[in-house]
Amino acid sequence: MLDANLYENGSPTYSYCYYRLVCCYGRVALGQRVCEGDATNHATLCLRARSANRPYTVRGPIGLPATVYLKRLGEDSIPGFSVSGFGPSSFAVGDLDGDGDVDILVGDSFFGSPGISVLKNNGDQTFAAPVYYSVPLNEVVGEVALSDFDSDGDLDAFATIRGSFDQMTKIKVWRNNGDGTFAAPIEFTTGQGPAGIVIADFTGDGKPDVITANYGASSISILRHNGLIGAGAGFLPPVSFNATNHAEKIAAADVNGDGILDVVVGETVDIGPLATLAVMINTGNGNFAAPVIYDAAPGGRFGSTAVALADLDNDGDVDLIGGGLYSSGSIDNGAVTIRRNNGSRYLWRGRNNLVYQP
Amino acid sequence: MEAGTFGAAEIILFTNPNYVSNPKELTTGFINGDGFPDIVAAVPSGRAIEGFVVVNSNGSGGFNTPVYYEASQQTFDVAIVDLDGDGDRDVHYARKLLSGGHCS
Repeated sequence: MLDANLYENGSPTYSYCYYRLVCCYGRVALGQRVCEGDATNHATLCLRARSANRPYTVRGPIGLPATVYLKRLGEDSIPGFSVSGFGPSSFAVGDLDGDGDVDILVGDSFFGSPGISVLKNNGDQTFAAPVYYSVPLNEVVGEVALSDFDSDGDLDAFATIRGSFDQMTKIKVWRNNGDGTFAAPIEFTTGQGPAGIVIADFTGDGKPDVITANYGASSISILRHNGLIGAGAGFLPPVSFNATNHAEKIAAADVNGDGILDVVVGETVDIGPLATLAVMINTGNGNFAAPVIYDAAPGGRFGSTAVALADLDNDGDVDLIGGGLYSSGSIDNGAVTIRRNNGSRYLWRGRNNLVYQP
Repeated sequence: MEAGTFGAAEIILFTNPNYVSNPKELTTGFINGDGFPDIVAAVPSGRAIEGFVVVNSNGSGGFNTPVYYEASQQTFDVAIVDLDGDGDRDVHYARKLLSGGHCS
């Protein structure tokens, strides 16, 4: 799936095309409209993106290559970038080759060239050219993550495979050869349409477990670690928990202070511009209670599925961070939304003034 | 109050004269050195702003006015990490290469 992250203005006021969607190969549906072109006769669709109302989701046909580009008005003369091999939409950072500096693993979501790319840090504020590991054309990557799941001392690469219609049900794992190159991937099953991924110990056995946020199934899936190390390391079949809405992003932290990791899921609502943040409490061994739902952007025009957790006020518990789009006079502007955790036994009374509440 | 439940939303608006989109991805980290986490948002599309927004903590649990940093292309993900080994944190962003296109 290519989420163009554009917004159509419902009003006919804007008669120009803010973006043009250029379709070169294949056939792409955009709502009721179809954009179909080939190498010599490309088609274009006008996208009005002046104001936010609802997102465009551009979808290609399952199993067929489709290549599309977005061009901004007035930039047609700028030489284009080919998306082949590099359409980054997420990344993870870590020392992939053991040389002490931080390298980058990029998830390439763009259908036509999905996969992962590795950018090694040269150690002199430059990065080596990306090394691209492809996946089949319809295996659109959602997000990537890094974890040493086989306990051999290097970081292995994980990617959710959501598919171009969120129809797929798996993650891919590339084992690190120890030098930042990666072996052929192995796969593990998830719920439908995995988008977000978080890797941490949710069961308390000291081994990393995988949780995916499943856009297609509106659920999360935990893939518990099998406890083995080396070549036998892997994950048990997924156990899924309903997350209410289309789960897209996920963050983990101990939300309720019981010492084990919980998750918060950023979700898209089927109809309307809302996004929700679903707080799901780990009741032990990676089992999750029914979600408690929060509006990501109360009073806003559009909600983000982006989510983060951090103790923003240093009161000892983690707070919830989301985002959205708000009308601001004649224009719209994004916003960060903060919800503070009710759980702390401390009240923040200003700098260096924590008041204990027994 | 019950741990793990959250209070009413506090909204920190990106009050820029130009359109700035909603966050595509969010992260936190210690940037300004006051001991409180700062927030970074990837903002992928806008009329003038395509880049990221840093919301610095004010040192007392609140936040200062957001600061904008332009990237040349749409920003879809963001992280705070010391990439150049100089001991402080840099903001890195994934750019979606969408600003042009051709069919050959």
